[in-house]
Amino acid sequence: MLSPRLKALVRHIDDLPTLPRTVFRITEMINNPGASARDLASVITDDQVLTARLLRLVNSSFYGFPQRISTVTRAIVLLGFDAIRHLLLTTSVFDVFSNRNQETTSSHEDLWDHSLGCAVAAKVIGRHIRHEKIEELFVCALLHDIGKIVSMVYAPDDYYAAVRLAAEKNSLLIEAETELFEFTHTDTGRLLAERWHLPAMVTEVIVHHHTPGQAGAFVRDATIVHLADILCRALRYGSGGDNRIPALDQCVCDLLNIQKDQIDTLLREIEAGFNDIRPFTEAITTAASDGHKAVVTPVIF
Amino acid sequence: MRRIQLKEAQVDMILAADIDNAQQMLLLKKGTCLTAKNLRMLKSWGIDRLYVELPANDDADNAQAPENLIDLEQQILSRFTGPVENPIVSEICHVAAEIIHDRRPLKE
Repeated sequence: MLSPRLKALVRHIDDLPTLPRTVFRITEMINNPGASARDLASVITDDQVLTARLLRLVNSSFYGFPQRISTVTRAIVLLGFDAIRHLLLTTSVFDVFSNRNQETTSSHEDLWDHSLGCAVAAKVIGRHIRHEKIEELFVCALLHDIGKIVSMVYAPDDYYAAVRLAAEKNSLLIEAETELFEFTHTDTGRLLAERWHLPAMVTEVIVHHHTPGQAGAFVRDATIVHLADILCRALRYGSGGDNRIPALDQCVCDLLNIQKDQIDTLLREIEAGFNDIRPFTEAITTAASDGHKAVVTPVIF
Repeated sequence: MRRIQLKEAQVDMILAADIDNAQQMLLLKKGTCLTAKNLRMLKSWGIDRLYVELPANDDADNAQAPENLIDLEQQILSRFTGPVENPIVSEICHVAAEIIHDRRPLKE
């Protein structure tokens, strides 16, 4: 049974932007072993905004290719299918994170930094424990707090009431949300994940990143994002709407087998990774703002 | 360890971390003493930042900072909810404090 406040949010969910259809088509194509770089390029070039962004990004200093890349096919060959999907999904998510309200700019930016830091951390942890789906972990972590964005945009009074209560009580935002309402950002995150038809792994991580032990088949993935959340808060990347760091769940030791002597390497790799990805987000910001009014130059195959 | 821009890098500086390109291909190993040729190669790959070892005379600055470092570590520890008597939590606070501390001089 949904509470009236959550019902009101659900109505707004219908107004939320959907992920571009092209991103879904690209994901399907990448999962098809018979698809070639040329097939993928033809789907991407159907969408002029994505094409402009992709070319701008691969030519940015983040990738640092010594020569200019002028075709989508060449970009795919150089970066690989997974990196292309990751890149297009990240830029599409950035659209939803992009701000519509000047008064909340800093909160949006802080949450974006927090999410991006968490995504980098999840990828680093995943690599260390030899997780087989590192790119998916990046996406799960990037979206883990997407419910906060939904509240920030569609129920700002409620969202900031929870932020204030968390500050007054020096508590986690989720504790303030629970005290004030009958739902939390994990519930709104689930609604959005269902609306976007995100994979079960992403949805379960969004819902259970505070309670990884309840994530069923995705307990390991939720535990990685839970630890990533803790590490990026300790490193002060942005803000998740409060100033606290969640308690370390027992799953971290039991399932990930992370030892004390691995923490130094993990944190330093996360710091280096986060610093490296910053220019990438700047490139996304520029590409996104340019992309909407882009005059796309012809793409030659 | 200090993160610098490539244009600040000089011959004979020691790399404090491996440098990879976007495809995770190793370009230069940690511990490499930079040469003019290395610097040209990094520029051609579009690398714009790198980690180098601090020169010996910077150690004096670090020696003045233990109190700040301890404060920072305590600050991070106090933000944890739930039990903190856990070796992993202690280590997270310790290393995160070191990283944040090292970041400070770079923010201008």
